[in-house]
Amino acid sequence: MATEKQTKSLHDVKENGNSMIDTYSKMFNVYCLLLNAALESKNINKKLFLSRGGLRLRRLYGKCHPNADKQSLDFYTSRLATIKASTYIAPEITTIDMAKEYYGMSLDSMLKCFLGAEYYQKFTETKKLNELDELESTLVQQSKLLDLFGFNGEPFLRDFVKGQYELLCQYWRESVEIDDEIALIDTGWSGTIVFYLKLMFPNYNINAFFFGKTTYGGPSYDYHMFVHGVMFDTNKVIPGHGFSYLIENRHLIEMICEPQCASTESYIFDGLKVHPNCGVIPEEVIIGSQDDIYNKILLKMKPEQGSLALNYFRDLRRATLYPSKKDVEFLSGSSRSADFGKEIQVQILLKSSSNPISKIKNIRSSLWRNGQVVREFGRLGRLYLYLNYQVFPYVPWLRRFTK
Amino acid sequence: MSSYYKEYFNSKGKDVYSVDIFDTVLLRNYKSEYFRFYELAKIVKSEFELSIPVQSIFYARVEAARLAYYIYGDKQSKEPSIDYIYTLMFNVLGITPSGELLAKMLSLELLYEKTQLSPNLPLINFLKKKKEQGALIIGISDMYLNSSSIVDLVYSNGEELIFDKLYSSADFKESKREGSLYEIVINDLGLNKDKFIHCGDSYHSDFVMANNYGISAVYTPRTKIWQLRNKLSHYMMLKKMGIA
Repeated sequence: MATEKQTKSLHDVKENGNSMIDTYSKMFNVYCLLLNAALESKNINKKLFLSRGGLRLRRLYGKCHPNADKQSLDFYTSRLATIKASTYIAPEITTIDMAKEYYGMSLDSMLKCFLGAEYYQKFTETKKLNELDELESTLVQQSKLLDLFGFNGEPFLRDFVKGQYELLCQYWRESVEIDDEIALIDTGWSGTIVFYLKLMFPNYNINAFFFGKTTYGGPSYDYHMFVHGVMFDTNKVIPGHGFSYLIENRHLIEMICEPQCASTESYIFDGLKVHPNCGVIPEEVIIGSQDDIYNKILLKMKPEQGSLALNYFRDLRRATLYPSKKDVEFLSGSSRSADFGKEIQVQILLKSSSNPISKIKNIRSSLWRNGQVVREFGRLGRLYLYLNYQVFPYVPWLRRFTK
Repeated sequence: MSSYYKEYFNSKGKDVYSVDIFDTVLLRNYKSEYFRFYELAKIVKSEFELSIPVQSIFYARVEAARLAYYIYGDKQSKEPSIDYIYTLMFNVLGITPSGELLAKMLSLELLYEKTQLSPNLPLINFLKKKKEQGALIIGISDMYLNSSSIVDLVYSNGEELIFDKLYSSADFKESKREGSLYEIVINDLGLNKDKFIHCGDSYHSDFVMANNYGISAVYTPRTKIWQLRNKLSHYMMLKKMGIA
């Protein structure tokens, strides 16, 4: 969530006399233009904007294309919610993702996060003390998760995922028709949610249009052909592709687009309709307060067709790829929440270290590596980044030095 | 004539002579693709009498071409058609893309392309000679233009019909870059690969991928000076666009 401090700092960064807020609003305007062009070319008639980031994108899109917004709706989901539901039909697949997400945790801690407090309590009531001790002393592994959630797993857990499966199916059918051309719209990035929704609803025409797409350097799977990055679709910066630089700072995009509220972790039925466990997010929370960067960007958005004289926002590109210390500092206190029910805040930039090995470790684990390079190595780091993006790619014999 | 073609010209016992089209049979001047898009944007603005700035038309074309590769079709290796790129471009510009508009846009682009191309006469003469001797002459191109548009470009350069068949990635939604277009050609012609030789200016698409599919291939790049001028033109355009 972007704070007031960052808003002020963003205002300090000028581009041709305009604040970075202006730059971001123009950037989202371009995104909306491209998104709309893509949706029209694919004859999409149902646009599901996925919580949480998608909800904010919908408001931006609605301002740019008021008429096109009519076929849109907010759709509450998350990786965790889709994995819970999909575990009922494909535990051998979902447990791979679960094992990755909860790596290093005990089964007991993992279940606390996965089930939520209420169901975890109910689950423990079905277990004996020695069984609970075993869960506490066993680390998460896919095979252990399959023992718990597989087709012959724990009855309580199977009932839990069956319930979530049925609720998500009902929620889906309340939202779309079988012959709809469906677009899932979100900030990004690799499309795990798309994969699980396609797994659960194979007879529906589902395409995803994300702000950006990346497979994080991993392999491309079949479902990736249905996941489209509107601004970029790459694992690294490509010199000739204007917006591919945004991949280096996707967390900032996500931070701007993430309203300050809980993520959907499961579904509940109130006797009439299915709802996300977090409840429907109030409009004022989605839009944010007056100090929220997103709110300021939204205010500047207007219906604008064909305005693409943009030069790829040269200063934003510079600040993203080879930032100055000032650019880096405005993100110094920012953090993002970890998913999957884990109540952890992950810092976008880590504290600088004096030890060279720790510096490298920090850069590798930072959410914004280029910012961390400048934080660790100052001007020298910035020079390296400049050469990496502005010089090496254009000199063939130096290309081997690029990241 | 570049010495790169020697191997192709001296090849023996081949029944099928395959060539890449752009920068092999038809030689472009050194101006980069983005430069050509910019020139085309000026023409589009004037011909369609648009009030939109040239820069916007240019960026719409660039972004439409990029986006089309990501979202076109339902396969992993997406080869968009020119009509789809134009549809996206007009959508971005807020103009409803009618069939008439798309056809006019294509004719403008072809007219412009024609001014940028010149025939590779030594290669064309060689292919003509081989055709007279009974060889099959085919063209294989990774291009967003379909084969009929490519035929239009080839023969507008004053050349008589030399190709028995033309394969464009835009028609088949397969590409040389992925290698799948070679498979289509081989299956379509029912060929013995030993009797087949291909040449082109892309090391990966025309040489490596052809070899991977068991086809003899000769790498015939443009001259070093041309490559340097082309890269410089590309770099200058990236500078102008704010991304270099």
